[in-house]
Order: sequence, then C-alpha cells, then structure tokens
Amino acid sequence: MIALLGLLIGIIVGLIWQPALPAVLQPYLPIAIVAALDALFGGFRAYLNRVFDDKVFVVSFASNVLIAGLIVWVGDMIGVGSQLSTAVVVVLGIRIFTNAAAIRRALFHA
Amino acid sequence: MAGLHSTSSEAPRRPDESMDLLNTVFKQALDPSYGDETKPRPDGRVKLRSGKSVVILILCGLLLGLALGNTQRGASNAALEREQLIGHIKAAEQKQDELHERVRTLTKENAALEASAAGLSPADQARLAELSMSTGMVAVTGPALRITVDDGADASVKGSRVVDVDLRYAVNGLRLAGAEAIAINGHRLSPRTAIRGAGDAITVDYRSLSRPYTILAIGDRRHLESGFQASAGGRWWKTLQENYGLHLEIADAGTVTLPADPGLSVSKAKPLKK
Repeated sequence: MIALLGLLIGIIVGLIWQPALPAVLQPYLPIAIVAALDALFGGFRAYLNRVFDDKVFVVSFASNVLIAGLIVWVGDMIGVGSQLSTAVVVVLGIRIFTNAAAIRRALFHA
Repeated sequence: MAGLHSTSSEAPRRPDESMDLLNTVFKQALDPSYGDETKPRPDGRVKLRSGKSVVILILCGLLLGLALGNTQRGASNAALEREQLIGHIKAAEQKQDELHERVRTLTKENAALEASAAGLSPADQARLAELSMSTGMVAVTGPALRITVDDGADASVKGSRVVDVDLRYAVNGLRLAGAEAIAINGHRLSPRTAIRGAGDAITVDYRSLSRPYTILAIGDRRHLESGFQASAGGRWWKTLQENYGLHLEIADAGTVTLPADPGLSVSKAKPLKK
C-alpha cells in the first residue's frame, strides 16, 4: 500500500541521508519519535475502525510532536526535564499500548 | 477534556472518579477528533492515500531513520573510544615493563661496581648479599614450590572468586613456612609489596593480575608444603576449597629463577651510621 511504502521510504532515506538536525533540537528527537509513534498508532487504529480522517491525522501528528517537545523543553528550563520527559513517555506509552491492543483486536479478532 | 465535570453534577459520584486521569488516557487513546469509532464512515479509509497522510508518513519515517542512524553511530563511537583507551593502557604497561628491565640492569651494574670498589668488608659483603636476596633486591634461583589458585567453577556462588585477602593469607602462610623468595604471576614480592584489590581485579605491586594466580616460593620444598598446610594461610585455603569451591594446587616447580623487584625502595628507613 502506498502509505506503508511512504513510511518505509522515509525510514530508508533517513538512515542513508542522515539529514543534519540542528544541534539544539537533537535532545528532543527521542521524545518526538515517541509522540510520532503515538499519532501513527492512533491513525492506524482509526483506519481499521473506518473512522480515519487525514486532516485529523496531520493535526494529531504535528500537535503531538510539538507539545511533547515543548513540555520537555519547558521542563529543561525549570530543571525537571528528565522527570517531565518520563511523564510524557509514560502517558504516550500507555496510549500506544492501548491503541496497539485495539489494532490487534481489529486485525486478528482475538 | 471539556465534558468531564458536567456528568458529576447530574449523576451520583462514581467511586473511581479520582482516577479520571488514567481512565481518560485509556478511553481517549484514540484521538476523539477521529469521531466515535463505533460509527464508521463510508469514506473512513480512503483518505489514507491522500497526499497529506503520505507526507506525514514520510516525515515520520525520516525521524525514525534519523534516530536509528544516530544511535548506531553513537554506539560505534563508544566502541572506538574503548579500543583507543585499551591501546593506551597496553602501551603504558609496555613502557613500564621496559623501565623495570632498565632498573634491573642498572641495579646489577651498581652491585658490580660496589663489589669492585672494595668499599665493604667481606662480612658486610656477605650480609649485603644475604639481605638483597631476602628483600627482593636481586634475582634468586633455587628449588621452588608452585601454588596455583583459581576461582570456583560456579561463578554464581557468592564468594567463589579469589580476592586479595586470600592471596595475602597464602603468601603469609608460605613466609611462615620458611619461603625465602615469593613471586605471584612473575611479580617478585618484597617486604613492601602491596597485594590489594582494585575493583574486580587483584593488583600486586600496583599491577593488575588476571586469574589463575601462580605463586612460586623458593625454599625447602617439603618444609614449605607441610608448613603451609599447618599455617593459618593453609587452613584459610582449606575452608575456601571446601565451602566456596575455589581451586588450590600445590606442585613441585623444580628449580626456578625469580626476578628482582624493580620497585624496591625505602621511604622511612634510614641507614644506621656506624
């Protein structure tokens, strides 16, 4: 499918090309990825339940990444960066797992 | 999150109301903007192929690929640094060995010069020879006993590794039994040689040793063996062998030559002026 192909192409290009991320943003890359994964899983679950909307997908991806990065950045400013980062990862992780379970139910009816 | 408090004023309070955060996270795992997932729409799948979605998916893949590449490169950098550090350590140890050799050569030359300068009386010469053998100043040769010690075979048993205390007990036991010169893994012991533990390794004379540990002791072999077994060191090692599974082997080493201790020096002792 063209969607999966797009994702794979993105991964391969990212691995080979290694676009230089500005050094300021480097520490926020892991949290951005967790946020992106959350949006991805949410989108896939919506697709399987036939309620997918591409506008919602784009907005959820962008807002997740931005808000997660913002929370961790503010946390760094006030000195609780690692704790806030843990909190963000915990919440996003719970959402990812919940969506993954729903996806598993929809795919395998099990 | 707007509708959360409106229900509580109409219905009796739910017992798990204070757990709303977790409940919300679970129930709203699928972004509510997608709509109710029990009411599927006819176009609820087609839109995945739209340009917007594909762009976002490519972006997502880029992020993942970037992070993957970063982590791989970071790991290889760390391994490279480790290799370099190991190289530095090896070079430093080699330099130290070379310097030790030089010290030994110079000490021999000094002894030769002293003897030929006739500054000492024959009695003093004899005393000097005797002392330099027992303190480790010169290399010695003679019949020796070899004691090989090693960790227990089962590494999970607590206390089954040889530590510096065990080596000290063994060496002291040998001294009590009359050993005239002792070396561990080729390092000659002097009265000031430290047998210590540093982290996981045992260091003798500030050099790290790795197992198995070979203790060579020059002396009367029979007296050495029986004296060692009867000493506190021998008893300590008997306990270690029986209760923790450590290995100890006593063997006849024939005639061996033990090198001088290159680090021999004094810090507080001063020569007595006659």
